[in-house]
Amino acid sequence: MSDRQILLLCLVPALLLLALTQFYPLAQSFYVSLHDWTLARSPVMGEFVGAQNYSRVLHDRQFTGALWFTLGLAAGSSILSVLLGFGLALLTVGENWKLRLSRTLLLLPMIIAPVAVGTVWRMMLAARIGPVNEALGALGLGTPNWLGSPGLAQVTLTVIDAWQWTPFSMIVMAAALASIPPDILAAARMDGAGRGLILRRIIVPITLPIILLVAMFRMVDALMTLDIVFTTTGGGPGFATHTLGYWIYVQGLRYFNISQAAAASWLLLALCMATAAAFLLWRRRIMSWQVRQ
Amino acid sequence: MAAITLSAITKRFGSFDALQPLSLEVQDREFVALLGPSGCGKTTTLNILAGLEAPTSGRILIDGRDVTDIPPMQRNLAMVFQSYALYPHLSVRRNIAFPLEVRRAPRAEIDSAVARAAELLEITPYLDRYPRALSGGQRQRVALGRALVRKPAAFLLDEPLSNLDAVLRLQMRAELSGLFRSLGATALYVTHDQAEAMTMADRIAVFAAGRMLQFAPPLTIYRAPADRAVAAFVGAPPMMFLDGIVTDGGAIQAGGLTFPARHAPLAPGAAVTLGLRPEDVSPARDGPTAEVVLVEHYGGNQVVTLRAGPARFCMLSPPDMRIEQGHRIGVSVDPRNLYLFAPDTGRTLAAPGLDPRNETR
Amino acid sequence: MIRRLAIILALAVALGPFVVLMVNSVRPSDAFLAPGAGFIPGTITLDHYRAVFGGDGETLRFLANSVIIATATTLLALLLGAPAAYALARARLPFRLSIVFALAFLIVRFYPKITVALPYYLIMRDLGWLDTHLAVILAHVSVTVPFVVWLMLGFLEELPPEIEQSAMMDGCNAWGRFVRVVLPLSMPALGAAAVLTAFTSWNEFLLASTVASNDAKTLPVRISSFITDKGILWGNMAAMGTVIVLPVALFAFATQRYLVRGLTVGAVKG
Ligand SMILES: Nc1ncnc2c1ncn2[C@@H]1O[C@H](COP(=O)(O)OP(=O)(O)OP(=O)(O)O)[C@@H](O)[C@H]1O
Ligand SMILES: [Mg+2]
Repeated sequence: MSDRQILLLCLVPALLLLALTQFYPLAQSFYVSLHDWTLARSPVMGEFVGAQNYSRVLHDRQFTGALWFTLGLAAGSSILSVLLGFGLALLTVGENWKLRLSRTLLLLPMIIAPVAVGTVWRMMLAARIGPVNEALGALGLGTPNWLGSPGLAQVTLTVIDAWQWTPFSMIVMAAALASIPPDILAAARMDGAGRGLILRRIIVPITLPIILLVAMFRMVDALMTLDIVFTTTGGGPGFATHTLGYWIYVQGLRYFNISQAAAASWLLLALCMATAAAFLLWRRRIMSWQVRQ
Repeated sequence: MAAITLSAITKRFGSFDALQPLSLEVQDREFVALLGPSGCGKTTTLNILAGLEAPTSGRILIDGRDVTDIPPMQRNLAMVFQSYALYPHLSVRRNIAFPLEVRRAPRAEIDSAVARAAELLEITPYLDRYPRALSGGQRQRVALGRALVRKPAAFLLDEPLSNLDAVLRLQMRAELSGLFRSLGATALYVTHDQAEAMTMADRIAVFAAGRMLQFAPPLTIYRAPADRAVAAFVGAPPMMFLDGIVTDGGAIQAGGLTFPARHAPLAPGAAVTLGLRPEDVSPARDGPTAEVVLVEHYGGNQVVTLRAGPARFCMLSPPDMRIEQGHRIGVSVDPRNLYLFAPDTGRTLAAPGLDPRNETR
Repeated sequence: MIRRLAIILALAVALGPFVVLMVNSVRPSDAFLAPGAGFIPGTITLDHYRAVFGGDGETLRFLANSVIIATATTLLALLLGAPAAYALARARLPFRLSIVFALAFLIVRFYPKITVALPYYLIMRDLGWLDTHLAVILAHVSVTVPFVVWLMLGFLEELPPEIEQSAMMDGCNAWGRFVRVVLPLSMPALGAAAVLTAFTSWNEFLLASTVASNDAKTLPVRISSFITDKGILWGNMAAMGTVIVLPVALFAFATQRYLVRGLTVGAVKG
């Protein structure tokens, strides 16, 4: 067997698996989204309806509500987690054992299953037994219904998502910070630059490409948020905390309203891809602008 | 061991011609050095021969068998890389045994082959160390050991000494030379160090800019270079070149100096390039004089840079001779040692090695 | 000083909820309802764990499922991903196919799995594989193989080509070079990929919940249904949460070097 054949044999199984379990379903989901099909009513797919499912979904008040909430959650959560993550990275950068241990411990929220995170926070924020309200009550600060009132629940979910994923931006940015050559910082200090100036003029510009990358990952992932909704609010109160992912899940896998769910899921997919592409383009613009400076 | 033929090999990288058509015949048991400045295509040649790169055109024969389309592992060549490329995850013993293990040789045979190679290269004490715990010279021997354990058709060595310090390099040069001579192995040895090429090789292939300029035994390269580029590359300190004119008497006039010449007659008034090797210029009581521009004392000898009119050239003089900067001294050149080149093409018109009368030297 | 306080505050915010979770898992049921009973429970009970694990022994089965699926996913993802990455890095495919394929692996990271989940459910239904380990494992492998491929690609880029050329001269064909030289040298990258894969599979909810209704159910799926059924059994919920969280936390601690490398390289290279 020639080397070429061997290498092809190495490649084919993984590609095949991906094709069968990801790309074929993707294509099929698109196909279904162009047809009329409610699994609850019929086990086989109905007739071709063109873009009808898309327009119906886009006119659905629940869907658009979920869309706005998802966008808000994604923006809020990614901004929060990028800023906090950068701050934590600055705080814990360094190589003594205490800092390294702190970094490892701070990772914990992100390696836990999102459904478990939801459970944990539901417990933390529970009306009567939750330690958060207990503490607030003891201080006489009132006991807000964190997950129970629509507007507040939306904010709460955003913050929980940021809480879970801040460690991700922290760990990536800590790596970026650690890779800044120390002599650059030393040279800046020799030149008499203060901390704020070093941060603004050196650290941020150098790590900006990574910051943008982290922001992109955070944004795209947050748009797909689904798991924590299950164990915190279940989408409620009402439809207030339906994310797009959750709405699609319920439509498709609970009501078996397959074709509309498929259409909605392709809209979400387009949103994710467009976001990723926009970030990457923006990043390239900024990087080439930096190079020209 | 085997003979190797490269016939009309070319290599392009995109639009860049890394190798002009190259033909080279290496005889069985011959030690050939590929010599040339950085970037001239030596490694490319070796890689093509090894099969690591495919030539753009041309054929490669090993013992008459066309191997151009045969992958490296079936060409039965052993290679020592410039960076040694030892396997960091294997002990020295397993590194050396690797080619035999791959071929599923019997355990006993592997053990004895490794032991033999280790003994030959004097690395037996390090057999159980890992490459990272070895010095540069020791690593180099391990890389050699890995090449030596099997019986390859030929050895390909890509600047194997270039990572060593000067002293170790000299020592390894002598050892390698002896080793390959005693093995009676066919070897291609890439180097940009002319001293290595001169001392080790049976024949030297001189490269420049993707072209082989000359392929000949060391002394021929030195005394009868094919053209000005070869002459310039071989010799330390290097040959100096002066623009000259052939006088009516057949002598060469260059920069206010006249050199008596003993060469095939050239048309009077013709322009020539005169090449002078520093060791062929010697101080003289009488004769033309030149101004001393610079004296560099190397301990064992001194290199004197001289100026006569617009011309500059160098002289190698004995260490005890007092020469002062700014003074004028007389110089002489043995007419038998003059090199003449065509100024336009660089082709050699006359060289000591080309003169049949010099043969007794 | 301020820095130290800030770090301690961050640690409290990050870890506090887990402490609460674990404390609640051993807090007697009646203590939950007493207002102002204090954070530290007066007595400790293992009732919740007994309730969660006892009876039908279901939870134990789900735990076993999670372990089996995460292990199989990790092994399969490495088994498929590492050779694929090697082939992508070394095979000179025409028409820039290597780049196309590499992007095909990458893109899996960027679309919502919910788009795939619905048809995946239908496919598994048609194959009669619903609620089998295999259905969950294949889904998990398909989302984790890209990690493995990209981590390995990044690593292979930095491997000096001479090492493999040397193996070539020593008589190894592509498979021999991969197995004898490349794999042993890429242990750090493989380790990182393995850890990341194991975590992802252990934590994955959507795809598992789509195809596993009972026999192949994993812990994350269990905890979600558990809550909607009997939302108010705080103690059991806490015990269940602890069962999911604790192994991961310990595993993360043991493998932190690989974990950090996997997370950072994966993101920075991507
Ligand atoms: N893969 C490649 N793509 C493009 N150009 C290349 C490639 N490999 C080599 N070259 C070019 O081909 C020329 C010859 O390279 P080669 O490595 O053979 O030089 P060399 O004689 O071995 O030099 P050195 O003494 O520095 O090792 C160089 O100009 C180099 O830039
Ligand atoms: Mg070279």
